[in-house]
Amino acid sequence: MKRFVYIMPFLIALVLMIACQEKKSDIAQKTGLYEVVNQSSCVGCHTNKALLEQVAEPLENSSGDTGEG
Amino acid sequence: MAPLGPAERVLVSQEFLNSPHGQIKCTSCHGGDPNTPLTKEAKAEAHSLQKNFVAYPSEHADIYCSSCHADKTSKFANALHFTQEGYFHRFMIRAGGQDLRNDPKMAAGFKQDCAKCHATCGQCHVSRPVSVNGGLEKGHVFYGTPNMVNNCTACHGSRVGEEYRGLHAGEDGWPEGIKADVHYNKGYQCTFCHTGHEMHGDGNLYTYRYVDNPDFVPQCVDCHQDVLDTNTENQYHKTHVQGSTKLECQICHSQSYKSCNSCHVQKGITGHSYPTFKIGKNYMKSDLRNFDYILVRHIPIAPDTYDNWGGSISLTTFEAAPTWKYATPHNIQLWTPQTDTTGTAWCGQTCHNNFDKYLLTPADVDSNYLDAELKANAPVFVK
Repeated sequence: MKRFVYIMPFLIALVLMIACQEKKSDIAQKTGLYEVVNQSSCVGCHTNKALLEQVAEPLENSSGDTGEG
Repeated sequence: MAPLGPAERVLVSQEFLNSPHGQIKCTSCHGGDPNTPLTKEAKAEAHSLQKNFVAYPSEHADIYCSSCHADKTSKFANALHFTQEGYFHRFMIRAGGQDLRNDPKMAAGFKQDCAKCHATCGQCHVSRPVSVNGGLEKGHVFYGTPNMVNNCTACHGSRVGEEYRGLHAGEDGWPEGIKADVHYNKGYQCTFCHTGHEMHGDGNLYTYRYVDNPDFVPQCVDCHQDVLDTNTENQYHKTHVQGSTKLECQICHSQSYKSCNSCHVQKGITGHSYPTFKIGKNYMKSDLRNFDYILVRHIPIAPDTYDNWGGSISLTTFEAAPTWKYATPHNIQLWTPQTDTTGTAWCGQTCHNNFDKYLLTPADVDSNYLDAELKANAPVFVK
C-alpha cells in the first residue's frame, strides 16, 4: 500500500500527459485529411486537391499571364 | 492563358505517378522533408532551403537531368534560353563593352526585372515558365512538345503570341482586318518551325538569336521553295526574291505588328505599345539574311533605361545599335495591304506609291531621346 502511494503521483502525471497531448490523429479528425498525408507524405499532400486548397497560399504577384517578348 | 489556382499549381496527377519520372522519389529531385505534420509552419519548413528543397530541379540540369538526358542537358547549358547571353551581349554593345554581371547592383537589377525570362528544361516540359509564376502544366507529367500558349507564349506573348493568334483584331488603334497568322489558322504550333534542335542548341555558346546558322533559323524557303524557282510567273518574287533588290519575305506578307515603348524596368521610354509597319535597311546583312530591306520594330530602350538599378555601368555607347530592330513578325498572310493590288494600275503600286508611309526615315523618330535615337538608327533609315 505504501509503495502504491509513492507511485500514484507519477501515474497520475503520466495519464494527464498522455491524455492532454494533441495527437496527429486529432488533427486528422479536425481536417479529415491527415490520414492521407500520413500514408505517403509528399504524394499524399500533392495528390489531394481539397487539402492543397486549404494549405496552398495565393502568390503575391499572380496577375501576369503573358510574356513580354 | 487561363491562370492556375494555388492548389492547381502544385497538384500531382496519377498519370504522373504511373509515368517513368513518377517512379523516382520526390525528394530525389526536390529535396525537402516529407516527414512533417500538417501545419502551415511545417509546410514552410518542409519546403525550405534548410531542408534542401528545390522548386525547379532542372535549374541544375547537370545534377538532376543529365544522368538520363545528357545529350540534351550538355548542349542546353549553353543555349540562349538558359544562358540569356543575348541580353548580356546586347547590353554590352550599348555599354562600351562592360558586362552588367560584373556590377552587383546591375546584376541584382537584372535578376529582378529580366531574369524571369530565363528558361530551364522544366519550364518547357513540366511547368509553366516562372515569368507567369510557374505551375504544373499536366499534373507534373513530363511532355516532349511544349504547349504553345502555356509555355512558349507565356514568355513570347505580347508581340509574337498576340500577332500569331490575331489578337489585335478590333483593338483600338490597329488597322481593320488584322488576321491571325495563316500558319496558326492551319493549326501549326511554334514547334512546327522552331524545333527542339533550335531550342536545345548545339553546345556552342551563342550570344545572339540571329546566328548565321541555318540549323537554328527557320526560313520561309524551308517549306516554300517555289519562291526560288526562276521559272515563275510571280513578278514579285522575280524582282524581290530572285532579283537584285532583295526583300525580307515579311515585307510583303506581314500585317501591322507591335512596337513597344515602355520597358518593364520602369525607366526610360514610357507609353503604350503601338502598331507599326516600317521597312528599314538591313543593317545586319549576312549570307543567311541577304535581304537589302527588312521590317523593323521599335524596342523600348533608352540611354537611361537601367538607371533605376543604381549600378555603375551606363549605356555610354547607346548609339552602337539601332532601336528599330530587325523584326520577323509572326502574322503572315498571302494577301496583305502590300500584296493586294485589286484595282491598281500596276503590280507594285500599293507599295511604291506608299513609300512615305512604309519606309523608316528620321521623321519617324518621335522620342524624348531624339539625338540618341537618330544616331542609333542611322544604318537603318532608308532615306
